[in-house]
Amino acid sequence: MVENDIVKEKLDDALDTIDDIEAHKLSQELEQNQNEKNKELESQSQGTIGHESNEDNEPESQNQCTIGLESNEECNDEREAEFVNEAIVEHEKDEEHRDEIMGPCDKKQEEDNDSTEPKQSDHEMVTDEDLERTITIACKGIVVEETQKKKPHRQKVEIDPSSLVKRVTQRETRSGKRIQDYIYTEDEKKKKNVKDDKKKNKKDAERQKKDKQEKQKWMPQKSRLYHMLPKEDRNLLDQICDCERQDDAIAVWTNLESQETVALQDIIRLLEEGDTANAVIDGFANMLERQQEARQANNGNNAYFTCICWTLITTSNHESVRHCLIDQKLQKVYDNILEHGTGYYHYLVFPMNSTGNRKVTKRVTPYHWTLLLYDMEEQIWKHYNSLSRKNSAYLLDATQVKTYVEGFIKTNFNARPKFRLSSSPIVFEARKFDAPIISVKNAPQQMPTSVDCGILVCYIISLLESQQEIPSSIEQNSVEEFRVHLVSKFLNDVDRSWKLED
Amino acid sequence: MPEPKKEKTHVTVKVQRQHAVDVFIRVRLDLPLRELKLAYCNRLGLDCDAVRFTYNGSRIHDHETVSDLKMEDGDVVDAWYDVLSG
Repeated sequence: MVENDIVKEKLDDALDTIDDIEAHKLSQELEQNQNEKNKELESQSQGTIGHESNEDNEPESQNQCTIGLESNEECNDEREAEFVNEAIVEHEKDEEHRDEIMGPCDKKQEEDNDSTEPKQSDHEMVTDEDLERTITIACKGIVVEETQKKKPHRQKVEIDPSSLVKRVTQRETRSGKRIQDYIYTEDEKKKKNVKDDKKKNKKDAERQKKDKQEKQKWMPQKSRLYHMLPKEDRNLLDQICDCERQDDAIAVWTNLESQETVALQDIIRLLEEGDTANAVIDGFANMLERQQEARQANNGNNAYFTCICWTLITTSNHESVRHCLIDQKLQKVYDNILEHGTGYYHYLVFPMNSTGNRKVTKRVTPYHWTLLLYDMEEQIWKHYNSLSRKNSAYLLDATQVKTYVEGFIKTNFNARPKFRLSSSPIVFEARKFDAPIISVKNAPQQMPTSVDCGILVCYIISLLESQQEIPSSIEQNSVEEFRVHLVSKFLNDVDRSWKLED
Repeated sequence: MPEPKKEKTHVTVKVQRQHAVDVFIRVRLDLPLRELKLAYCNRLGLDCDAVRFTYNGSRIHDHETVSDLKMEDGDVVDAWYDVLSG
């Protein structure tokens, strides 16, 4: 409502002033040119518009100071600007009441207005003291405003120095000057660090050793097969494990002839259903061989060869070992045949560990146990493979062993003129030793995820020894039982097994 | 009278292993062969407990000496890793 009143008053004032100006102009123009009255009247109608615009400008020109004030203040509301307009309108109406009007205006407006208004409009009315006051107050206000405005800028400035430091470091290549006499603390620290590193390395090594020992510490109670052992064997195993923790590796079983040992690790692998070591197979074969000798039978014996025969035959490195383990054994077998006849041996047993027709490298080592037999009665080579998938590849490995044995017998025992086997029904002819080789189709198979091939080889050997038929399949339970049987055999071999006295 | 200076005090032994270079080691006669094993394993960076040494097919014990085994110059000692498979 107040705004409407103000607008009406403004309009009335404007109309009054327009009337006055028109009257002046008309009188002047009438004097100049009476003919152009019509045109002038048209121009007057235009002029009214122009005048109105001029008159609109007039208060604006007067308001310039106030607008300027508003711009300086920046934070004044529109209402304050309206108050200023009011004041100006009244100021136009009554010059006499100017002071009265300006008073309230000053009070309503902020103090900054005082500093600017008197400068432009009323120099005379304001004293010097007031000016100084207002200036100081205004300066304070400006300073406050500046500080308020600069605060965010300062925060930005605080981030900048890092870049400056970078520049400095980039520009200046710092070369340290060192005094020879002075002992620098940094060097001592470095030395200390080096010492600490050495200590740390030592500690790490010790820790690794401890970890190894802890790993070696095997709790027999945790394995499932341990509980299948008889009580005496369990007690023995516990004692061995206790000694293992104090000393180094313990030989649970030793072969007195070849000094090969079955270590506790091998027994652990047996009990935890792991892979089989060559010492286990050789040891088991040795035990069976000794049983044979004890029996002193003249027929149905088996000759057990070392289970690394394949690697010995295929590589040229270990000629001396091959000579000891295979050639001498073959010689012995041949002598026995000569002495007792071909019926003395039923099987020549070659447990072999091969790669499946792959080249042996550092990465590819023999990884699968198979069993090669020579049946003296049937005069045929039999190959038992517990993984029938890759039969052909392992059969090729077996033929390598076969050709070596046949070749060795042919070459070495051919020249003997005394070679005659009249006493035995089946004639073993060393000259024509060339038997066919077959892979037994219904050999017992291992489970696809298991590593029981070595155990199965031992199982077949034990069946051969007891002259039982080899089954076409074997259940997992019987494999586990056989593992336990092997362990108890290694634990309870007289004179060869581990004892507390040792 | 036999002269002690002419007696042999050392023997050079060849240690060989599969896929490895042959190593010649000179051993004193009365030295336990544990030293030979350690020397070989240190040279090739092997774990001495994992490697087994055989002479003429029988395993060499730590406490045995060259004179115990009646080794001679140029004799071959075989080094093996335990064969594991399944």
